[in-house]
Amino acid sequence: MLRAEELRKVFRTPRAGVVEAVRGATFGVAAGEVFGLLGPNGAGKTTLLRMLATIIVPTSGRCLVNGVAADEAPDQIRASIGFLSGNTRLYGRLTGREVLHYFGRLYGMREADIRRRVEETAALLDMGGFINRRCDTLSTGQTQKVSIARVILHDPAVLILDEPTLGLDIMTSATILSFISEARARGRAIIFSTHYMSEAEQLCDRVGLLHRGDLFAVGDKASLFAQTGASDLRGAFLKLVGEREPSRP
Amino acid sequence: MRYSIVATILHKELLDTRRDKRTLFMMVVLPVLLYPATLLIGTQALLVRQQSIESSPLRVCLAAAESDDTEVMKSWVADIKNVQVIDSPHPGTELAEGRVDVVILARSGLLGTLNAGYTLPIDLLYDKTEFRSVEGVGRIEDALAEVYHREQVRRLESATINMEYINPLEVKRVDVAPKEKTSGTVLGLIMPALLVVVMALGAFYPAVDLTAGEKERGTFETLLSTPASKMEIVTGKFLTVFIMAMLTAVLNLVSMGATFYVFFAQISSINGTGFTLMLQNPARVAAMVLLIVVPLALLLSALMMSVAVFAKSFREAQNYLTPVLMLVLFPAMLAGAPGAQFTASVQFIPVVNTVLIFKDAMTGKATWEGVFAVFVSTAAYALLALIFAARVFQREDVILSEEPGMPLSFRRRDYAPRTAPSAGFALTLFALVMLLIFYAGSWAQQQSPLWGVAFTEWGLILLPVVAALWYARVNLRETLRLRLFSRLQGVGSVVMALSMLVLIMGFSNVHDQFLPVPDSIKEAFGGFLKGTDSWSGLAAVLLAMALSPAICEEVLFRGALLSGLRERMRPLAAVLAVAVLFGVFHLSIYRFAPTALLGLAITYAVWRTNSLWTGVLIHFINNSLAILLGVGKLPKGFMESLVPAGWETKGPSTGVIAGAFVGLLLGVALMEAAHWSAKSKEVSPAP
Repeated sequence: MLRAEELRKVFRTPRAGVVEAVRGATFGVAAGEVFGLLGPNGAGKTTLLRMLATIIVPTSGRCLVNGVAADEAPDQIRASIGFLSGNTRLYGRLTGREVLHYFGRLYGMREADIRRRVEETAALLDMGGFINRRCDTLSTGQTQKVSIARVILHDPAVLILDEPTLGLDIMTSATILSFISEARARGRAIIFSTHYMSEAEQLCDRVGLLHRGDLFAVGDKASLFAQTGASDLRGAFLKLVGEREPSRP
Repeated sequence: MRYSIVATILHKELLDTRRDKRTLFMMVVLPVLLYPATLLIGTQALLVRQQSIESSPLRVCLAAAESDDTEVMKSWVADIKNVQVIDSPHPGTELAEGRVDVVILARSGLLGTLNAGYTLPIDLLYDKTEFRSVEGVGRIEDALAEVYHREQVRRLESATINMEYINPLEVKRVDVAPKEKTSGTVLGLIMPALLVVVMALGAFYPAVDLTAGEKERGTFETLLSTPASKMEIVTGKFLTVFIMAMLTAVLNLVSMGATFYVFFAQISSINGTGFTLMLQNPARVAAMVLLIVVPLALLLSALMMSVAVFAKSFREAQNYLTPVLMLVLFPAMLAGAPGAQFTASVQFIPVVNTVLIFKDAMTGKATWEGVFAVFVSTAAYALLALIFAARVFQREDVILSEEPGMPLSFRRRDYAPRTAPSAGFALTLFALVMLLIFYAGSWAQQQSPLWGVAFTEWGLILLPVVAALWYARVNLRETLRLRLFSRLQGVGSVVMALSMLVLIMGFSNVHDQFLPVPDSIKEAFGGFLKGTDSWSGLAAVLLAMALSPAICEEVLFRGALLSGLRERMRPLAAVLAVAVLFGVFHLSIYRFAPTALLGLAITYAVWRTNSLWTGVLIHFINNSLAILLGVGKLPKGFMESLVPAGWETKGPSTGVIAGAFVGLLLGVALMEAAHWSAKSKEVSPAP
C-alpha cells in the first residue's frame, strides 16, 4: 500500500547550515497494518512522516502509494492520505461542521458527498452534541474527535499520524487508539509515531527504529525481542538505541 | 491552479476574519464611527467652550499709575461684550492665581503721552496655558485696535494730514481658486497619507493572522497535507488580505468623505461662505482613486504577507511588520506634507507616487497619463512582491519552522543562553533605539549638536543594545562578532571604504537631481562642522561624528541586527534587510538611499569577514573622510586625486567613479579570497 524508498532529507537552515534529518529510509506498510515509528527526540520522525504526507519534498528517494509515486501525482497521493499531528489545533472561529466542509472541499469532494460523510463521521464519533459549536469552545477530547473526523472524511487508504496522543488525557488517548484499531480493521494502512512504548506495543504490527536520521531497525515485535533478548518493546528500544548513543563518561 | 480550491480558501479565510471581533472592530467599526465621533466631539467641545465664555464674563484688571488713566482704560474696554473690570493692587498675583483673565498694564502718564503725540507702550499680561485668558487677550487686542485707529485719525486730523497719505498702498488678497478646488486641497492634505496608513493597518492584522497565526495554531501543516497546492493556498490567503485592505481603505475613505461633507456643510451654514464639499468631477476623481488604490492594496498585502510568514507566532509577526510599517508610513507622511508635488521623477517611487497623484486627483490637477504611470509602476512592484510571497511560501524551512523564539519576559532567568538574539528580539531592539533617538536624541541634539550626537551614539544606541543583549543572556562575543580581522581583510576594508566614499558621492550627485536636498538640511549639517578650524575642535567632531557612530551603530546594525536576522533569513536577505534598516535609521528621505548603499557594503564586509571590526573600520574611514572633505582639511594632493576640483556641484569624474568601482570589486575580491583561504584551512586534514 505505502512504500518509502531511500527517503532522504537535507535541510539548509540559516543558522545551523546543512543538516541531514533523514538518511535513506526504506520500508513499506501493507493494508490493514499498523507500522510504528519509534525514536528519541530529534531522530527525524516528524520529518519522515511529513515526507510521506507530501508536506515536504524529499531531497532524494521517493514515496509510493499503491504503486503511484508522490512526485508524479501529488494530488492523487494526497487525496489517498489522511494526516494527523498531535499538536494540530482547529480553526477556533469555525464550527466543527464548517471545518469538515472546508477540508472536504479542499479534498475535491462533491457537496453532497461532504454532507453525507459529515453525518456518517459525526454518528461514528458521536459528535452530534457539539458539531455545530465553534471549535474554540470545545474540550480537548471533542477537538480530537473533530480532528479525527477531518482525517477520515475523504476515506483515505493511508493514515499518517504524528504523535497523535501527545499531551492528551487517558480518555482522549483511548479514543484515538480505538480509532486506530478500527481503521486497521477496515483495511487502512497506518503509520504512526509515538513516544509511548505501551501504545506501540499494544497497536503496532511492525515497528521501525529511527536514530539521528537512520532507520536502523525494521521488523515485527517478535524479531526485535529475539534480536535484543528483551521481553518488551521498551527494553528492545533502550538496548538498540543505547548501542548507537555515544558512550558517556 | 484550481480556482475552486482558491475560492474555498478565500471563503474560509473571509468567514474566519469576519468572526474575529478584534479585526472587525479595528477595520470596520472603528473607521465608520471614528470620523463622525471625532467631528461630533470636536464640535461639542467647541460649543461647550463657547458657552462657557459667553456665560461668564471676561475678567480684566487695569493697571495704571493714576486713577484718571484707569478711567480712560475703562472706556477702552467698555464696548467689549460681557466684560468685568476688577480692581486689585496686585494684578500679577490675581492673574497667576486665576482670579483675572487679562491684565492691561500701561505706563504712567497715559493721557499726557497720548495727547503729546508719543507712542504709549501697553503690555497685555495673560496666561498662555489658560484658554479663557488666550481668548480674552484676543478680544482686548481687537478693542485696542479700535482705540489705535481712533487715536491715529485724531492725530492726523489735528496735523491736517489725509489718512490716505500714510497708506500709499492698499494690498488685498483675492482668492481665485474655485471652492471645489479649495476643498480638494484641504482633503488632499489629509486623505492620501491617511489612506496609506489605514490600508497598511487593514492589511496588517489579516496578514499576520493568516500566516503566523495559522502556524501558531499548527493548522498550516494540516493544510499542506491536503491536495491544495502551495500556490493555491498563497493565492487564497493573499486575496483575503487584499480584500480586507481594500475594504478598510474604502470604508475609511467613505466615512472620512462623508464626515468632511457634514463638517463643511456646518461651517458654510454658520459663516455663510458657501464652502461646501463639491469636488470638480466626482466620477473622474473616484475612477482615478480606484485605479491608484487597487495596486497599492495589492502591493501592501503581498509585502505584509511575505514578511509575516517568516514569524512563528502572532507576536513575532507584529515585531517583524513594525519596520515594514515604518518603511511604508514614513514616505507616505513626507509625500502628504504640503508642498510635495507629483513630478516625473517620483512617479516610480512606490507609496510616494500614490499619495502625490491622489493629492493631484483631489484638486483636479492629475492627468490620466500620471495615473496610468502610477498604476503600472505600483502594479509592477505588487507583482514582484507577490512573486516574492509565493517563493517564500514554497520554502519548507519558513513554512514549517519550529525553532523556539525568545520569551516576552522581564525576568532574566526566563531567558536561555543563546549565541544570537532572535530576529524578533533584534527588531524590537531596533524599534526601541529608534524611539529613544526620536525623543531623547533630538532633545539632546537641540541642547548641543555635537555632545548631543555623542550622547545619542553611546547613551541611546550602544548602552541599551549591549545591556539588552546581556540581560537576555545572548553571547556578546558571538553576536557582535568580536574577532580580529586578518591583514588581507583589513586591506580589503580600507580599499572598500575609499571606493564607497567616491561611489556614494557620485550616487548622491545623481540622486540630488531627483530628490534635491533642501538648503535647510545642508545648513544644519554645516552647523555640526562649526569649530573645526582649530585642531581640538576638529578632533571633537571626528570623535563624535566618525568614531562614535563607527562603534555604536556597528554594534546595533552589524552586531545585534545582522546576527538576529541571520537566525531567520539567508545571508543575502539578511544583508539587504540590515542595509535597508540602516537607511531607515537615518530618518531622512534624502539620506535613505546613500546610507542604505553604504550600509550594504559594510554589512557585506562584516558578514564575509565575521568581524565587527571591519565594519567599524569602513564606517570610521567613510565618516571621517566625509567630514575632512567637508571642511577642506584633507591634504591637497590626496583630495585632488580622490575628487577633482568642482566635485561639490559636478560630482567625481567618470574616470574616478570607474576607478572606485574597480576598487570596490577589488575590496570584495580580497574579502572573498580571505574567506575561502580560511575555509580551505579549516577543512584540510591535520599534518
